[in-house]
Amino acid sequence: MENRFARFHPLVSFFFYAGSVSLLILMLHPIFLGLALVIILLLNFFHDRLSGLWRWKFFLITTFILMIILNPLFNERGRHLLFEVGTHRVTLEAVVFGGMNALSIIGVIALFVSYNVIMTPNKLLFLFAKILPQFAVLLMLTLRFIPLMRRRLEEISVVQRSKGISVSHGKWKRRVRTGMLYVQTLLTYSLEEAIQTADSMKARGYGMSTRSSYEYFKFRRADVLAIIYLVILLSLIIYCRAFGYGFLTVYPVMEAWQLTHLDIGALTSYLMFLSFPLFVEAGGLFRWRLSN
Amino acid sequence: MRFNKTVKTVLLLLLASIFLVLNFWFENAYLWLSFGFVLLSILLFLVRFESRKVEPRELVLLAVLASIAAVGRIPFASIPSVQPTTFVIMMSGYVFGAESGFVIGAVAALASNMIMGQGPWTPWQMTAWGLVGLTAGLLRGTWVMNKKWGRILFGAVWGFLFGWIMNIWGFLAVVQSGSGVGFKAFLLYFASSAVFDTFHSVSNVILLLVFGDVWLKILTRFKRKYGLLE
Repeated sequence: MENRFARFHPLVSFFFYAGSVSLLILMLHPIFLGLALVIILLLNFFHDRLSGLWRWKFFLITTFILMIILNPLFNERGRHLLFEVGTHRVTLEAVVFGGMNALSIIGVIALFVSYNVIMTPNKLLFLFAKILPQFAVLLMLTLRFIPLMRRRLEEISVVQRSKGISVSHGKWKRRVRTGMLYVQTLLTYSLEEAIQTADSMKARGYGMSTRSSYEYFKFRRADVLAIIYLVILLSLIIYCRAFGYGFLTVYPVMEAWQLTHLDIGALTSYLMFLSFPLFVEAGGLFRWRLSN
Repeated sequence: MRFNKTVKTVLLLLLASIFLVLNFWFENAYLWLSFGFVLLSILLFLVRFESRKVEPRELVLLAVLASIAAVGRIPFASIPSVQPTTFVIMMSGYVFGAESGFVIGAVAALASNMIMGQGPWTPWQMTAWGLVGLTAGLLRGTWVMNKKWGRILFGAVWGFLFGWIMNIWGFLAVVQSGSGVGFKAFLLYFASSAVFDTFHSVSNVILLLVFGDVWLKILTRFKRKYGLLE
């Protein structure tokens, strides 16, 4: 399914993800993090009905549990005692702190799942090509070579198998040795081929003038508006955060969870920033309904 | 579109100073700070890489080595914790120099993550593998690295260092700012990864022992034959 958010200029999407990751790391407050996680889940639902996130379920759940347990295990600071195990104090502060960090990290990983759907390699390359043209070519060549190398490895292993040599059974010492011999064959084979590729590139005029690109992203009016929207919200939030709003101080004394006026202001901007892709999708759906 | 040199320098200095100011502001955000450090240092390297016009032959050579480093994991999929990526990057850095070594390591990490899926660990992997290549290139003239046992020691040390670099971000993610998690947790966290680091280290040693010399020969021969990256 094509997402409306994916149609924005790569710069917009990149800025959204970079900003969101920063916010998740900066705004450590249970209410902020909880709501952010809900939004990110919704985001993933809109992208691929959570199928991407589902593949990460094991990693996500273990990280979450580990982080919640780890902090109280090593950290006895805090005034509100929940219970004692032997002589070990488990405090409310430690649990809250561990929980907040766990939510933040899970949020970041879930956000990256959505990032991988939206920011396809060609978009990232497009961004790179603007500021780091040589590096972008290198990366593109590498990306193109990876499937090629895979095929060549397959070829090599077919030839070797006909000689009765294989990596999949036998003693492990033997297997490591054959595996590495495959890679070595691949190396000599590919190095020679590489020279031909390079000469073809040169013959086609690589480096003579500016490069043309296969896919060109235009910066439209909607992109300008989106960037302005995101920049304003992000600077508002960072401004609030710099004065200590939108952040739960746990040590030395835990604050109340209650939100002040400015906290609520920061929270609103925070939610509006994170749910930008949702607004885009919702707006698109709404227009679709109207036009029918 | 190539930016000229002064614009680039000014931009980088500006980024660095913004980064410093932010650090001053949020003094306890270690995770954030380390992300900034890593990204900025990768950026510095890439800008340096851009500053020289690289010949197509050299460019393709770097791409081939990076992709072999990334793909080399496939035949070893059935053998846990053994992968030749570090070995390939080390050899390339040793033969083609520090800068090429860093670029190969960073590109191999970035490209393989583009296929396997990016995550917050990408910049750390890029740095860790980049540093493998960089240090191999920097140390190539010294007498330690000219000896076979020196290179093997180097591989053994990097098996652990690589794991530690990747641990640092994991640990900072667990701890984040201001909590009182202390040295004990730090040690435990690092000890828990020791098994994998040992495997990595041992596999580096075995590969260097059995294949180190052959690979050096192949790469050096190729470099001399076509006069690349001298």
